[in-house]
Amino acid sequence: MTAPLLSVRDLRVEFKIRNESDMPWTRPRTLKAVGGVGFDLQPGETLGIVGESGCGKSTLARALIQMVPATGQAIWQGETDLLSLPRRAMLKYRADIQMVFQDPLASLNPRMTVGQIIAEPLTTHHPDQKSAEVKTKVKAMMDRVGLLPNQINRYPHEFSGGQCQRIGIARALIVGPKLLICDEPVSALDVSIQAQVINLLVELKRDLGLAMIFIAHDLSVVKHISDRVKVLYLGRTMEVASSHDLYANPEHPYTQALLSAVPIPDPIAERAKVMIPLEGDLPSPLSPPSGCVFRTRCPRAQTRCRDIVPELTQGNHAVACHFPGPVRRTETAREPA
Amino acid sequence: MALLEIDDLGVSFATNDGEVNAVNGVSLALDKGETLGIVGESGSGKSQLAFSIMGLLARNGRARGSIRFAGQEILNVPASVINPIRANRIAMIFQDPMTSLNPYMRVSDQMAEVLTHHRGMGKAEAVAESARMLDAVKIPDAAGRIRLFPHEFSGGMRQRVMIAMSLLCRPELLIADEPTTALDVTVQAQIMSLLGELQSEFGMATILITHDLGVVAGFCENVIVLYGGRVMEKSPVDPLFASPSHPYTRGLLRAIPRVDHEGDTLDSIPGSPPNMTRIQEGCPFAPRCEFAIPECRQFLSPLTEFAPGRWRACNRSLEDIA
Repeated sequence: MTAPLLSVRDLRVEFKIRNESDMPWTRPRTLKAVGGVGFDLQPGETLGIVGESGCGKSTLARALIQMVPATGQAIWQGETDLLSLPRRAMLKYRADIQMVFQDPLASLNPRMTVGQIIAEPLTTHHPDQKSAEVKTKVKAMMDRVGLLPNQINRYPHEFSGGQCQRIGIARALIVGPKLLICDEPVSALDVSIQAQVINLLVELKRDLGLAMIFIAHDLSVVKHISDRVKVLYLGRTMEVASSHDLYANPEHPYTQALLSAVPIPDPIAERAKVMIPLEGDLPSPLSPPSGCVFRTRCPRAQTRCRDIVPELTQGNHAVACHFPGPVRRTETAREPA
Repeated sequence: MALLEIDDLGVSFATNDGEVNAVNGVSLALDKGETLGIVGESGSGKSQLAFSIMGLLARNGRARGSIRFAGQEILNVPASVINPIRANRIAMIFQDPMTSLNPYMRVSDQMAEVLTHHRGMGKAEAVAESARMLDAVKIPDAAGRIRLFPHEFSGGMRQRVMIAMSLLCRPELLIADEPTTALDVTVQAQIMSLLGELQSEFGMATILITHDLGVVAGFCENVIVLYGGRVMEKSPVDPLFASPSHPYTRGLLRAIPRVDHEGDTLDSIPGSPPNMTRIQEGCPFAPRCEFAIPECRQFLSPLTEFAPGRWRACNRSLEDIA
């Protein structure tokens, strides 16, 4: 097998936090946003990353393109470590790795026309191109993502949310990236529009052989689009498996609880669903629990979980838990508590 | 007599871009203890519908028609008439608990205010009652945490505070406007099951406004589907999901990816939601409807009952769209 497109090992992102009330000599506290995450991404593969707010999914994506400083390794095509590159050298790889953001309108410059927005990455990475050539490419790309090429001189505010997201996708794809990182690309969109954008992404991925890292909190969307899915909790990987496996046979108690919490748009299935209630709230990432980070809310937690951090197992269906396995009868609640 | 009767409600706003018609002729009735889901995408008028019940329309908004609560007209009435009803007999919880709680007031103060104002309780008694209600919404250590400020609670806990506050006067009707949209799925599950428990405990009628059909499926008895400020379909929850009778409802259900299904492409609805500044002739969904005929651009059939309890507004017959 050829080298993976991207091979991430032990990626960590830490932020130093200071309160305003802290004395000048107080040591800043460390917030571990991502605590040692690794994965391999093959060309053309889509990796879904799910987790609740604060689990570090967006930070992970931003770390990969050096938008936030990180430690660890992210080997691009078996050669270059993206995390240790100087900023200027990183520029070259930015054409290969593009990003689509959550809020479609906020991620577009309101004072630039759609044509200028989409052309910008192209003129940055290939400054020697003739403007006529650029314009042809932009128009072709607009057509490709389902925008009317004659709208090239309009401004972002003249477009709807779904169309703005298409502009964002066009801007990402114009430089022909190999990897597209989508950070919650459809969560700001209405259901009917969301489906249009998801279909577009699936189609583009198939036609262009794109690899994708698809970050979302909506488990059904992630399932629909991903080949493999990784579940994060407080910056750690809880479980990774193929999309089918993870949703059909989740092994980690957190994945099971997360899946059981997703409302199903079918009253009969929804009533028959077995709920696994999670107690309490997400612990503060400033003082994460010792051992397994999930233990404070885990129905299976024992003393072992407090003392030893569970390692992620090897293989196609990897899980980081001392007591993995299917849902147990005692954990479920027919009447949600 | 129904608890809440809305008759031909219209809401419009005067803006610089012209008249925006957010709600166009919505009628509905709600019985005591009923749970009604109102589903729609952004711009469907679902929130404005709720705001007109509470008399909270923005200053440039105008409402027509009639809203009767327990037989009493509450639309376009002076504050002296609506104030004893608001928060007392009809309560509302909002999407974002952080912006709807007062950041400068302790939770104890803002909760007690409701009781001292509406029930004439003394401060100490009101705080004690508020703490009991916080306990009912399962906030751990309620008596201690009632003294905290809103920012000291997590998002899910804040929404619990909102719910507790809305239930203080034991309202007969609770309107929940996207109560879980800002929350994570596991917290959403906690809040929805809490709402379900409280609903059966206190027996209030509930209107749940949401864009999430999954949440509606788990919580509501009846559903109204809004599009472009009009009611497209109205039905008990089970048959609506089993056999949606309106092309829009059907499109919406097909467009949702599901965790319990494997699927390839989603059937998306082409086009985008209507621009409400233009006066709509005919069916607002017609430009995006695969079954639209020229008449659909001219007029929209009124809501008609085609099966017991099931209503639809569509020019095409059920056979036409089969």
